[in-house]
Amino acid sequence: MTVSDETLMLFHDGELDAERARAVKVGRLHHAEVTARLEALALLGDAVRLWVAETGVDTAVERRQAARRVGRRRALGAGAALFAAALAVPGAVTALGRAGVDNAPPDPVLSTHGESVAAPGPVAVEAVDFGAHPGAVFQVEGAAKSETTVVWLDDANSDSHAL
Amino acid sequence: MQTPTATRSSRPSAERLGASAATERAEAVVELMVLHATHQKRGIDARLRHLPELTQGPFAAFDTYRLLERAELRLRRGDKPTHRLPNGRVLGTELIALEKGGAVRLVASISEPGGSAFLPLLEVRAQRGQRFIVAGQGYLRGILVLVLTLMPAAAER
Repeated sequence: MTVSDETLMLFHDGELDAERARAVKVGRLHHAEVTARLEALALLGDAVRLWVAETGVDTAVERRQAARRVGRRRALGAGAALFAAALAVPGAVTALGRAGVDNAPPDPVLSTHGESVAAPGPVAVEAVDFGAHPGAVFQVEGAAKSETTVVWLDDANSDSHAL
Repeated sequence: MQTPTATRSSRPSAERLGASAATERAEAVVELMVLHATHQKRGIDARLRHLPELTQGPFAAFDTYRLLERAELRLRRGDKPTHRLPNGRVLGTELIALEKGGAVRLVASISEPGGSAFLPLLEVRAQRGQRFIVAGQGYLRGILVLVLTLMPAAAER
């Protein structure tokens, strides 16, 4: 049974029309692959919600800052949509093809020697193309309170199943 | 530890110039750690305790992290070193530019065994000592977590 990522994501979010939702429910009963992909979506969503709860990314400013870090290639990519749903404010998520991601560090500043030095910050993702899979770019806390850039790929269609 | 292999170089090969690749100075070195995240309730490998990221965000959804391998990708402009991952896919890297201020611009990609692209393009700009993570590929009831660290200049000998 072939079910697109977009369809599963809409089903997971309860936004699929009744007829297609019935088809997915039938598929879930008879195809382990569909069940596994739905479980992956649920787990990914739980993880993001946990992260939001732990980090308190809740104020409008923080959500906008987080949203700027999130990139997605497709408008309805499953994993990206979950991240975006958790992090983004409307219109703040940049759709990407082979495009830049708006998490570049500030402009270089001059050192005391007059040389241009990069301002401290996490690794900047200049461009990303997630190909056929949904994905997201975000940051988590690393060592010494620094931020580490994460590129997360939704590989739920993998033979080995992501989650 | 798997040895990275250089492919598709636009420069004359080191062998033809009479110098071995081992003695050729890298312009940047990326340390690659390949981790396996699962739900086996075995905790985090002691060798990974320096990675607080593994307890943050989506990574916290996994309770077990094991270090599968560690490798060095020695980068020079024009070279495209690759590294085969445990799931059969291939991680490709390429040094794009060394910028003023010490920043390094590099490109990574992940290809399927058949050659088609899984992650067609990831271009980043990093300072030496910084790391970034590429995670989410399915592998043996878990996921692979690739931790890529741009090593200090001293590693480029």
